[in-house]
Parts: sequence; C-alpha cells; structure tokens
Amino acid sequence: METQEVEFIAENTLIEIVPKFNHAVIHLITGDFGPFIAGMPVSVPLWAALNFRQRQKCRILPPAWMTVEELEKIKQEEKDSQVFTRIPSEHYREITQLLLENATPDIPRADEVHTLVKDIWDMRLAKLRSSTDVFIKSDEVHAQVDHLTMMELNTVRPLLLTSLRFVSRLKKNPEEQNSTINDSSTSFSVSMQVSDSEPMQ
Amino acid sequence: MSDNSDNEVEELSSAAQVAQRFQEWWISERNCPVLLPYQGELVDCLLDQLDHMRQGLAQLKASDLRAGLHRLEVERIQYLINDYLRSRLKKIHKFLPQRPAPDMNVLLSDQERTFIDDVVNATFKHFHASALSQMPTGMQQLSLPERAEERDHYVFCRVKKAAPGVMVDADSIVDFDVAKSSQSAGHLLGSNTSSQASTNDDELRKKTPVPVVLWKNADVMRWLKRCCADQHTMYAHLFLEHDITGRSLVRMNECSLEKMGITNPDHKSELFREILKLKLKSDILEIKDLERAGADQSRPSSN
Amino acid sequence: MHRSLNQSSLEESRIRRSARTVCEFEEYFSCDEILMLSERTPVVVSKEVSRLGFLDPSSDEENLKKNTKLELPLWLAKHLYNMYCVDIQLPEAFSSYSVNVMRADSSIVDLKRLQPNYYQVGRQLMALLPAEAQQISDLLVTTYKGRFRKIFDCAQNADIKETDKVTSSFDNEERAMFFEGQKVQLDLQRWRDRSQRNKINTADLVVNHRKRKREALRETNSSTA
Repeated sequence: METQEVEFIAENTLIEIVPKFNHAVIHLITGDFGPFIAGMPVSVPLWAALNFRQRQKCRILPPAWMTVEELEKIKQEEKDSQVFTRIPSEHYREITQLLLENATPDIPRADEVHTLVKDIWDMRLAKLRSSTDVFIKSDEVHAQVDHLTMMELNTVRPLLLTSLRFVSRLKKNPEEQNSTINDSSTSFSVSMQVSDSEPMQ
Repeated sequence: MSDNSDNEVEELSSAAQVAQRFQEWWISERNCPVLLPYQGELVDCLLDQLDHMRQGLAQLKASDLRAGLHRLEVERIQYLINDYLRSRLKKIHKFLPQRPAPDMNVLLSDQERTFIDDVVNATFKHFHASALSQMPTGMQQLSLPERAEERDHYVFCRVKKAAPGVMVDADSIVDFDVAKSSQSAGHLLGSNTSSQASTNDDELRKKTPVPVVLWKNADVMRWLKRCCADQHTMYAHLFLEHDITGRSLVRMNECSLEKMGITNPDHKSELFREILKLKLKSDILEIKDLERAGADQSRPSSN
Repeated sequence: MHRSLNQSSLEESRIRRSARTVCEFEEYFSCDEILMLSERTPVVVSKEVSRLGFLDPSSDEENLKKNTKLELPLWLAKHLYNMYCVDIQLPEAFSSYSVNVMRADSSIVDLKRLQPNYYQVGRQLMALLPAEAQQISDLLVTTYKGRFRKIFDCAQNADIKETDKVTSSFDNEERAMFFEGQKVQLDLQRWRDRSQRNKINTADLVVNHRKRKREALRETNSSTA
C-alpha cells in the first residue's frame, strides 16, 4: 500500500471542530453529522474538518493525545520498554502531519509536537528493524506484532514479506512437491501465548 | 460464500456500516497476495448510494457548504470502489493467459469471468495467428506448465474474532485471542491458504491442515525426517517398503513396529512416542473443530 | 541424435528422471530466468553419446566420449541430465571453499562478482543434484539470512544517488528486494516533504530581477533628485 492510501484511511477518523457557522444536520453516506452551531464543538471526519478549515469555516481542536505532555509521556514509555507500547491513535503520524500542514495555528506548540511525534516514530522503527532481523534469522513462521500501526507495517511490508517468502522458497526441496503437507520450517514448535505487549520474535 | 455475504448485508443496517465494511474489504484485498471473494452486494449497494447522492447533488443549489462536502465524499467512495476493482484485476492478470483453477471461479464476479474468457480467447488466437500456424502440424498446440498454487505467502493480519488453535503450519498451533487485541494484534504468518476467509472475518486467514488420516506415504516420510531424524536415516527404507500411509500410522502400536522390522527397544519406544504425539495433536484439532462447529450453530452471527 | 537418445531412454525406462525444477508460472515467460539458464556448470559425461562430439571443443570426434569433462549451460545440462547422459558437478560459486566463506560471514561476500544469479542457480542445482539438495538449500538460506540485515539497512537509508554503489555487491534477486524496500522509503520521504513542496515559491530569477529593478529605480531617482 502506498503512504497516500494509508493517509486516506486515516482521514476517516473522527475529530472535534468548533464551527464558525450554523447549519442543520448533514446526512452523508458515511453517517450523520451536526447540527453545526457556531461556537459548539462537534465531531466530524477528518477529511471534512480539513475541508472546512481550508475554507476558514472552523477551528480544529487537536485530539487529546496531541499535547506536549501526553506525547512526552508516550515517548518515555516507548524508550523504557523493549517492546512496542500502545499508542492512543492508530494513525498518529498521519493525523499529526495533516493537522500541522493545514491547521498550524490551532495546535499549541506545534513545533514541539512535531519533533516529539517524529522521535516516537524513529524509536519504534528502530525496534521494528531489529525485530525483523531476528525474525528472519530464526526459522519461525509466525510472529505476533501487537500495537504496530498501519503506517509502520506499511514501511516494512514489501521487503519483509518478500524476504520471508524468498527464504521459504529456498527451503522448498523440489522432489518433495508431491506431498500434501505444506512445508514446515520450524525446528521447534511455536505456541506464542504471549502477553499483552511483546515484539516480533 | 454468497449466503454469508447476503447475511452480511442484512445485518448491516445502514449505509455507513456498508461503507465501513467495504473499506475493510478494500484493505484486505490490497494487502492480500491472492484473490479474495468478490463482495458483489457491498459494491452494488454503494454504487446505488452514490447514484442517489449524485442525483441529489444535481438538484442542490450551490449552497456550497453541503454540496462541497457531499461531492468530496462521493469522490472518496468512488475511489475506493475503483481501486478495489483495479487491484482484483491486477491479481487476475497474474495468471492470464491461463484460465484460473475451477475453485477460483467462485471468487470472481460475472464481469471478471467474461473478461477472463475474452482475454484467453484473444491471446490464443494471437499466438495461433502469429506463430503457431507456421509450425508443423502436430506442434501447433501451446501447452503452458501447470500453475502451482501460490501457497507460501506471508501476510500481516488483524484478529477480529478469537479462533483458538489455528494451525499456521503443520507443526505450530496458535491461539488467536481477541482479548489481547483491543487495539491490534497483527500476526505475521505464512499463510498457506488462498482465501479461506472465515464467516465473519475478512482479515483472518485460517489454514485448514491435512488431517493425519489423509496423509500419503511421502507425507509420512517428511514427518519422519522432520521429527526423528536419526530414526529416519535408519528405518526410512522400512517405512517405504511397507508403504506406511497416515491411516496405518495412527493404527500402529509397538507390536506393529516390531513386525515392520524395528527391533531395537529404545528406537521403538521413541518412535512410538512421536506417533502418539502426532495422534494427540490431530485429535485436539478435531475436537476444536467440532467445538467451533457446535458454537457457530448455536450463535449464528456475533461481532 | 534422435535415434541414440531413444535407445538410452528405453534402457532406463523404469525410473524417469524429471529434473524439471520448480517452474512456477511466472518464471516460464520470465526473461531473467531464461538468461539465468545460460550460466555454465561443469559436467562429466556418463555414457558415450553419439554425434554430440561438437559440444567438446577440444576433441575432433563425432561422438562424445564417456568421462569427458565439459562446461555446459544449465538449460543444456538439464536436458542431458534427464536423458542420463551427464552427471552434474558443483560450479565454483558452490565449491567447498565458497561454502566455508559463506558460513563464516556471508554479508561481506561480493555476490555480484562471484555469481550474479546465485540463488536462482542454486535452486536449479538443487533439482539436478538431489543428493546434495538439502545442503545447497541450507547454504542458500544461511547466505541470505546473513545478508538480509545489510539489504534492509541499505534500503532504509534511501539515497537514490548512491544506489549503484551500495548494491554493487548484491546478486540480482537481492537487488530486486532492495529496490522494493527503497521504493517505500522514497514514497515516505515524498509524503513527508510534501508540505514544503506544495508551497509555491518565487523563483530566484524573479526575485533577483525585482531586486535589480528596485536598485535601478533608486539610482535613477537619486540621480534625478
């Protein structure tokens, strides 16, 4: 999947805005939103919010996790833990980028937020990189990847999945093509009864 | 399959849910290397909605607030549908100019089937006209090699429904537990099945392993080599000679091992232990299957 | 040639060798695979084959003598192997010396120079030498696992100007995987920098022109004043 497509999916998340206009309920295919009363916060999908913002018809309220304090807490958790921690939003990177592009004045301390999100992203990717290496070197067919966001998975997807398939093809012995069992490459049985947060093993 | 998707549309009470469900299928189709079942009902329902919306838009004045928003949304949903069909076509192209295997036909829509027929006929006509008709008679057929099914793909998947004891591989049994995955538990697995989407889950790929009783001799040899390598080097010829299939394997006991020609008591007991473990594993799987079938019957659609 | 081959196949009609390697559909029409099959491998002729003497450049005879050592391309070697005329041996890239180097540390080996189609040739050899298939398979897997980290890291640091330098020691399949990884990185970079790119900036030429114009205007004003 391309980055733009992951962003497309992210644009469907709901976000709070404070409209500067009055309007009745709007009935979209994907749901009913409103009524819009100037000064009262209302929840709309992100793509609609950005559209309004570009026309100067509203002010966007950043989501609860997009404050410097929250992000610093998340960053600290990520640094302390060896595994991937839970983050408040599945699309944190895309939402941050979109809001900072289009609604910078609405977000307090935008630069710091940007830096923090970038740091969190870099940390998680570094962990992901070492996990993938370990996974390929081991012979396992299955790994649990809790708490990874779509964007992060998308970054490693082509290379990792192609490599895994390549390795399993290399292991396939041509004369054993007549059997009905599928090839197993595990040398020890894997039952990943893992607890809530564990990296790929 | 079509029954299931009928049920799906019935339980989806609103266009919003249809759109949401369709988006999930789009994500699955984009990320899955093989073809998934065609979601005809969802596509048709959404196209209807788009038609209505477009007609409504034509009547709307340029009260730009609503018009702009509606138009944006229509374009977004249209993009989803286009991209869904496009990615399916890409996958179909991979096995042209051969016809797909017969069990793949259920995954295709009618338009896709017509498309495949047209392309295959055109291609072979082209081959014939450009090269094959010049060949000596007797060599005018082009036989393409059998297309082996792509079974060894790895995917990321998100667990939506708990499914304990899914066998991702002949050896490993994994429990998909939804309780741990309130946000996401993406599993990276070697998915050895093309499109066995379970009833309510479009993103969960379940593999149906071959039960032991259906194993052929070659499978038994592979299992032997894998689990007890030294016994394999010593006694492989005995297993081959007596043509031990899965059926005979589960009915074996120590006497039959002795009758085959394995006299050493340590080897015999070790081999017998491995056979018992294999039998136990396949029994567990069978029990879980039965449990699941029973549970599914009593609760037709959850989630 | 047709007659002699019939005879040999009659003799061994009980067990048929089918060294038709794992031919997945996409590889049938693939140009890369066709090119790869022209890589050479040493063979030893196992029985006299009439009228194939021209394959051996050093002999003038019409027939190919038994125990001649030749280097043949893989596609030819495969067909002769199916007819029991030759025995295949391991080429240099898979000799025991290379195997030891790979086992020690595979990430430093220059695969492009050694054998640019290393993995594909290896898989073909697995079918041609069934006795050693498992060892070749293990060797290929160990080699790849050792080099994976390097490929991955290089792909993540995607600087498109340095691609050739960085992939100079990769084999063809590794290069393909590297490009896939790099594509995603470039896509991500483009998305990230989009906000800067979408702003319309005044071209330098225009800015300089305006500056010069302003200067000229000031001068004329000061000279007239």
